[in-house]
Amino acid sequence: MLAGLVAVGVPILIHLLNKFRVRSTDWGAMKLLLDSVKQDERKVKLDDLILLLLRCAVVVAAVIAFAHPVLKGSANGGEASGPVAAVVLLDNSASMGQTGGALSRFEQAKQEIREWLDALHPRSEVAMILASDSPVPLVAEPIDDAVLLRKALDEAPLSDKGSGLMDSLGMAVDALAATKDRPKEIRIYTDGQRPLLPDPEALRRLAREHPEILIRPILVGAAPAANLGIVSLEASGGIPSPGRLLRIHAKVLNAGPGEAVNVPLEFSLDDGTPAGSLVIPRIAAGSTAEGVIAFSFPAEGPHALTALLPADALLADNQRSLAVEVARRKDVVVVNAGSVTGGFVAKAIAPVAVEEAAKFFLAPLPAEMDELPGLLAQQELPFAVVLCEPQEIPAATADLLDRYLAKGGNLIVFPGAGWQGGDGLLPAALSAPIGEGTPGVTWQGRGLTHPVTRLWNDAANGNLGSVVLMKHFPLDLRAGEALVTLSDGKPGVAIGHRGAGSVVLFAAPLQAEWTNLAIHPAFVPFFQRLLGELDRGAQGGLNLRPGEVFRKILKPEESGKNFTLHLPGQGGERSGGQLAASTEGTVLRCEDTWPLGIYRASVEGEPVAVFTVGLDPEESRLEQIPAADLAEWTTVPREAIAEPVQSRTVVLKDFLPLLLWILVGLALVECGMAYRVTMAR
Amino acid sequence: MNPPEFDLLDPEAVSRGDALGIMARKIVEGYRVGEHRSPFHGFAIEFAQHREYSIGDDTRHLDWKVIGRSDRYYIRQYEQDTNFVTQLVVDGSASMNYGSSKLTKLHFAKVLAACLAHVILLQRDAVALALVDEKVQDYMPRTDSPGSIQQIMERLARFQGSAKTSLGESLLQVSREARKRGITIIISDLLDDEEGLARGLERLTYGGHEVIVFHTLDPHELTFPFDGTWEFRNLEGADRLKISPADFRKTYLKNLEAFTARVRATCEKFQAHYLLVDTGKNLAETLSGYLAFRQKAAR
Repeated sequence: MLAGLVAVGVPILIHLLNKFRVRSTDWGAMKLLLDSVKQDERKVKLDDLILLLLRCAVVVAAVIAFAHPVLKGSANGGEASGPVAAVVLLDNSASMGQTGGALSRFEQAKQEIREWLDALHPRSEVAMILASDSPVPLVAEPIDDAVLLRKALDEAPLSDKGSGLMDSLGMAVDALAATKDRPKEIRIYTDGQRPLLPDPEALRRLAREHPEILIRPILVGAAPAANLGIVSLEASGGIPSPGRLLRIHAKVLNAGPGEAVNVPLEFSLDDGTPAGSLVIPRIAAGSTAEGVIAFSFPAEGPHALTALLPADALLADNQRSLAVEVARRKDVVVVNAGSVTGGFVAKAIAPVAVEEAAKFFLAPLPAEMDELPGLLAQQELPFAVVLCEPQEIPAATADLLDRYLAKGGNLIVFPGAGWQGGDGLLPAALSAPIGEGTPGVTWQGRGLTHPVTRLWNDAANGNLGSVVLMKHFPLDLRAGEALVTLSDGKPGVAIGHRGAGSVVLFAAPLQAEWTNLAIHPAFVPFFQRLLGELDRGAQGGLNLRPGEVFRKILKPEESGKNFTLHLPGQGGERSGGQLAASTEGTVLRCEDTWPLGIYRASVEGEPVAVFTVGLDPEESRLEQIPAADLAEWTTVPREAIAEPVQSRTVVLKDFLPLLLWILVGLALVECGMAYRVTMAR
Repeated sequence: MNPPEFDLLDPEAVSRGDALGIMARKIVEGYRVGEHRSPFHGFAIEFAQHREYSIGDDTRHLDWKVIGRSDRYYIRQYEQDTNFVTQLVVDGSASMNYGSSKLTKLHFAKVLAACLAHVILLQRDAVALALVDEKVQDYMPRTDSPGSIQQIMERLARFQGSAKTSLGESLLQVSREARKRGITIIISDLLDDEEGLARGLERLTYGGHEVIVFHTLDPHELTFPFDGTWEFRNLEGADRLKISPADFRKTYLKNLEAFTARVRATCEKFQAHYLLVDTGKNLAETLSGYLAFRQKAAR
């Protein structure tokens, strides 16, 4: 369009043509005319020259204004002045809620995006994506509707989600795929948290695969001075029941640069009833420390226990809740209770005097294998089934148990001495027994990490290392983990998840010639803790991360009834609907798990579930990826760029508005001057 | 109101004596000068004698002093004939050859002179003719014979003028030719040496002449209406000037106004009558307007 500058010749051409288009005449009053010319010649020439220059300047200004001149800049520096196609990735993970002053990082990012939009060329097209571990498009395809873009930006919410970038980048690259005629850009507004990009190589690869796209990370705010966050809140011990003490473990991360001392934690139950407090004496920088309190729930039913830290830069991780189903009584079916193992197991389930067994929260129900179909067909399923010394699990029984596990049941297996097979359900395969005639192996006694066994890291609680297996079935893990490890490093107890439930497999029956576990002092507490762990596994669906789906299978008679869901926060929103029956049963389902906090579900006024949504612990780690690293990961080496000059040219700010004003000014001056000259003549 | 044919002045006709004569007569008859007193009559006319009043004489000429002294009614009689002459001076300098239409200033001047000669001779006054440019090119001494009108027309028609001009020198010569005082009518654009004009006027008025100046200018010289780019060729020299006239119009008109003001002032200084004539305007109207003024002044 700058070729239009040739139009500046038009006023000059007109000026010259006028000079050549001459008429002539005889004249008598030459003296009068000569005197007049002498008087005015200089002024007239000056006026004409100024007018000619003004007219040329008007033409030049008009051409330049509409040609949108550009200046070349560095590939990674400067801002585009011509139209671009851009995708804005706005990090709305929970860590963007951190504040260092009046505005949170999220609001700062929005402000910077607004300023960039204001400076953007009006014909640019922009898409917007909320970037997190589950990105959401605000404006899926690039558009040039500035009003819509600003509205979408203004309404963009901060979320409680974890950080993540690669999925968002993939969406951005797809959004730009159709753009052909202008520079492409992806602008990432983020706090640059480490968890944002666990694999920098993935980012490098993407940048190399798309050299035509300028990827520009924009770090919002500096790293905060300090942040403490509750990264986990768990219960350990047995099954929660009214009045029964549980150990509540609260783990706190110190994400700041310095040591944190005397960190207070407050606990509250349900609607805020104080439930205790503790002080963590010292947490080193970058480390976590655990505080433990003992707590008993006062009544059966769904409850939530909340731990609270003092407010700091990131509020979202200063509070975490734990949802717990407190049951009055749970039934445990003991199959083949007449066996040696069955006797010990029944005692471990209800380790109380006979006369108190009826009131105990766990009730062992003796049954035979052929009674299982009837027991598992009941509406109210038992909490767990313990198979004591089966020689095999027949296929029909396996199918039955599989369906039971799918509904959240739990299975514990002590294989019989003549185990023959049918271990398709089990978390490990059993090989032929070994150990006869050897000293045997023992359970691991120290360095225990599993929630069931770590209690015994404290020697005051005993020593699991004195549990001996004179003979055992070697376990080959398939779909589970080792709950107990043997001294030879192999699993001694395997646990795995199947359906909504769990399966636990011991390496030996509870017979004296196989193991001393049944008579070990740790057996009963171990078994109680195992049942508690199975219960927590069942209750694992009660404590979710943002975006995870809550499901609970209710009683069949609840089908068709109205349910209400109360969302977190004072005056929290309510949603609801009607429960419907499905092949699994009557399922209460909630997919919108974005606000952090405690959710309460009720059916026709009766509470049926409490669940919590907690922050991804990684969001508490506010350590920032250095800007130089981000730049290096997103910069494509020149040899990798196929068409570097054209696609990587960065233009400076457009001068159109200024030039238009200059154009108007020149035109006004020219008109005024032409009028003045005309009047003068 | 004059018949419309008197508005048209045909340059070709002006160049032929007979046609010029006819034209002049038509213009003058249109004014009906024949029915009026000569406007050039009664000025600077010498008292000759008394005669006794007869019924019907013009009472304006009663000599009241004599009536007061003698109680008799006597009329003053004046010298009219051979002691009173009107000199017509027509400038034929090159600049007079300019005309924005086909009628030049010189054409106009000839017609005007022809009309004036006609008027004067009809009134049985004497007229002399001086055709001048840098000097008196042709001089016709005074005549009061109506038959000499044809000769006057012929001379006017033949007169072409030259490239040079010196009106002042010409006027000096004319003043020497006119032995008796009378009226001198100058028809010129006066685009000449202003000092020379002043000397000429001074000499004429010193000699007792009444001077009337018809300052004839073309409409374009008066309004300078040119647009675009023009080359002006000097009629009185070889120089040329290429300009955008619109650029200088204002200043030119200002200078023209100053020029005519100076000329008027010069005329007034020497008690000469000044009349600015636009050659684009109707000559009959111009003439009749001036003659009517003269008549009023004569009372």
